[in-house]
Amino acid sequence: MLTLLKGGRVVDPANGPTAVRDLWIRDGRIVAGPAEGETPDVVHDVTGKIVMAGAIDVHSHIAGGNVTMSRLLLPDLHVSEDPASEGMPFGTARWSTWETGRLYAEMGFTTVIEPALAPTQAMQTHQELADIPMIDRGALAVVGNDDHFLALLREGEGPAALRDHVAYHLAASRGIGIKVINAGGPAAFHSGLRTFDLDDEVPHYGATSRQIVTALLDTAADIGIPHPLHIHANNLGVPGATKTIVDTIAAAEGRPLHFAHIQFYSYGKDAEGGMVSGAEEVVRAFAEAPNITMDVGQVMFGDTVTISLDLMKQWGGRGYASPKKWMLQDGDAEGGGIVPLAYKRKNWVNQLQWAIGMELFLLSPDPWRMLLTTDHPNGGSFTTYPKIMHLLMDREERRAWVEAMPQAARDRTGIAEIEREYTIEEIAIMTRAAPAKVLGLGDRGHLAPGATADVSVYDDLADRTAMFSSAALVLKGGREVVRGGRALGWFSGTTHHLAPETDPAMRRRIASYLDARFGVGPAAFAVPEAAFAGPQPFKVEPCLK
Amino acid sequence: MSADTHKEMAGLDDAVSRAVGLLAKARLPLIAGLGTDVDGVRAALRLAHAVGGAVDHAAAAHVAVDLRVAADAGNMTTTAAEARNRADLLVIAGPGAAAFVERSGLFTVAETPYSWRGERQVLAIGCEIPRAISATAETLAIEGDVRSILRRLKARAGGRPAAADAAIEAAAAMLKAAKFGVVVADPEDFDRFGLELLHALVKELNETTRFSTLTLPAPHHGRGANLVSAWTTGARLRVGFGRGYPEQDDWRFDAERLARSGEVDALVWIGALGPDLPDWAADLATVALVPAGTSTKADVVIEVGVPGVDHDAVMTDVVRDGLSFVEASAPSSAPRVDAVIARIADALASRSGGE
Repeated sequence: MLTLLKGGRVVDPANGPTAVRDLWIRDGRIVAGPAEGETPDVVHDVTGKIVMAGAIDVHSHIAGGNVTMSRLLLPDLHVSEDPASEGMPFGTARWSTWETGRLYAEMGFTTVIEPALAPTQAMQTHQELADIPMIDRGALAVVGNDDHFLALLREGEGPAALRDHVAYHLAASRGIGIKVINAGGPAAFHSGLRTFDLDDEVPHYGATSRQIVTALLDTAADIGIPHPLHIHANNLGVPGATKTIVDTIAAAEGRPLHFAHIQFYSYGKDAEGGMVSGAEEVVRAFAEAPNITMDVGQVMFGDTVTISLDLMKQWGGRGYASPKKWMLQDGDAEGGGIVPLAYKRKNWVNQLQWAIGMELFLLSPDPWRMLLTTDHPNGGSFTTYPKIMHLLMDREERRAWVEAMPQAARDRTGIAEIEREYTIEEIAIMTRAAPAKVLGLGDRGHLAPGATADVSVYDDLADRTAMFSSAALVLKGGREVVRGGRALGWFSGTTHHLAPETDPAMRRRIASYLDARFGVGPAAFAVPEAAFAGPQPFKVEPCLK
Repeated sequence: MSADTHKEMAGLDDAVSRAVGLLAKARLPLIAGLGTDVDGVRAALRLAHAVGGAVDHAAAAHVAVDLRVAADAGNMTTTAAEARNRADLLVIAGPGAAAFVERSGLFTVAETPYSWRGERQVLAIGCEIPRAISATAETLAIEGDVRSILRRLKARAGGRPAAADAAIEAAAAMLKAAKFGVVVADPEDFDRFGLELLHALVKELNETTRFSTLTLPAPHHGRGANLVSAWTTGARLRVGFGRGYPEQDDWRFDAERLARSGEVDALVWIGALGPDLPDWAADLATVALVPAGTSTKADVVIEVGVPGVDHDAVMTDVVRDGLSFVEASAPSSAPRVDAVIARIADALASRSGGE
């Protein structure tokens, strides 16, 4: 089938300057044009509209045991009150997988990555991902805090054993990359520690956080994982964590490393130890290290819930729970902590968090390396992305927010002095081309011939919030899935994952370990295709070697 | 296809059409029992959405106590494997927990990957020390009502005055000396205030050491059913779809209350993973999906396969605390719950479409 998007302003900075031109799609892929004399089967007149690749989110907690744990803790956070559209059951069920897929698609997002795939809970995560319609999905396998890995480090087993361990869990859990969470911190928390820094040792294992991170950086390169090691660093939320980030960047020694939700670490300290913006310090280190990518984890105001495998941080944050209830699960490796939060406009710390996130975006020299997230739902819902883009593109819109800040916050950030506005091309890089590149998904994030026809079309409105909230048209793999900001019906996307080779000896070792630890073997943790009714949801992406 | 299978299929067609006839007349249908695998629960929720029905699960204490306390006050929990491997103190709280420890054999293994754990201490409150715990060092059992013992323990562990005897003092000292204690409890032994007290004690102990809880899994795949409901509707069971969107309400959508009050006029009972039809269903027009050989008195009885026995299934695994793929242990042609429910839903849709 040949489809023509006619006369739109095509913003595709990965492939060239913005231009008014036609965009052709054949059988789910972008093509250069029709064959001679061929006429399109479908024509969408998008004259005057903005045409971009479908947007991609690298870090959004949308599925898995901890997300569902937060649903169990907080029936009061989301209350459904709209009947579902015909043929779209659960589409208005607040905080359901179905609503998640619909809302992302209606904003023009076509691929979203769940960043916390715990290998022992992989089946639940993939069952939930399979129930998120409209978008493609992927998930990052969480490694580095489990007993088996830490014991390998303790016993001084070489890089090959560590690589084989990680490759096993990445393959078994069907991750698209690997992530480490407060490396060693959750393991230390199980043993009673309440703080953990880059050079602290995990009790009983002797390994430091730095050693874990270094080992995983080597491992990621050795396996050929396209996405850099995704790190939730130590000391999240701690004033002075800027130093942890600078030190961790240095520890990477030029190897690719992705820092998640960097806003939550960009907190400096004044002379009295009070929190000030550390955005300039973090961006300085970032600018000098081209191997580093980051996502922001922007805070937006309102009620939300923090979902994290960083048990230590969640324990430390329990006093801020609003409403005053929280959950903490000591899991088989990390586990999870759920702490509801309200980011309040009247709270100067929350205002400062908002401003620091904005500073990071606006001070960053490179939209290819500083990506848009709210660490959904930890800094705020993904549904605030249109407002964030608006604030970045429009300094007048931002000025109103800055002027509303309490003086205590304004004194601690340079946000008021920043005049920069993001261009539409920079937005397209930050939300499309760059996340595709950092994930190693070369077939998306841009509109060159051969690319997957994930396309978002927007009305070119001065009100960027309205514009990005409600895509005029979204094509997913060439198929029309959203029109006029409304999803047209359920459509199942694909879960992308890697399938690295695994070592037979390590498979045997892990089988006997699992059997001793759980009393059940690897089959109990497997995610076979037979576990999914209907068309199977998976697609294997290649490793780099 | 064998002649027998043809006959089975014809029987199923007939049963499905009678079920559809029964549901089409209902003003408010109820889907209950819900003893089925992940796909069965998915299908049940879809049917409930389509007919505007209510959904409840048979594991009432799990919903009314465990999940209610979780939503009211939060909790600290751990996995069965962590309890077995890491805990240097096991607190067996109540007779249900003691029976679970005996039955599951969870603590019969002495070995642990955590070499520093050493031998386990065991504190039994409101029950005897279970025999099925190996590597046991010191033990202490306090007989009596588990909730009343917990109250006194919480007071003493927090340094507050209480009618404490030597046993309570010793038990409080054990709690505080543990490096990673785990309380094992059965929600059936508690009301929600009792269980909230237990979680409050555990949270308080974490101010100075590490402690967590392991509550018994709900029977009839209750844990899994609630997880599927949570991600599908945004909330745990019980839910109703009368308004075209899911509403969570423990009281409004309590199956037994709905039946006894006459608010519902039809029941789809799903008992693939048990239990059988309850007494309160006697006066309701009922479609029962039950395993072969169950003697069930219902208007329409549809024999279905048992997940994990007759067919492959995804279910929560008690031992490892998570969803697992379970291969059929004795594969048969008995239909799956999700397939039967989907057929009923499709037939209902085409029927209402035709009218």
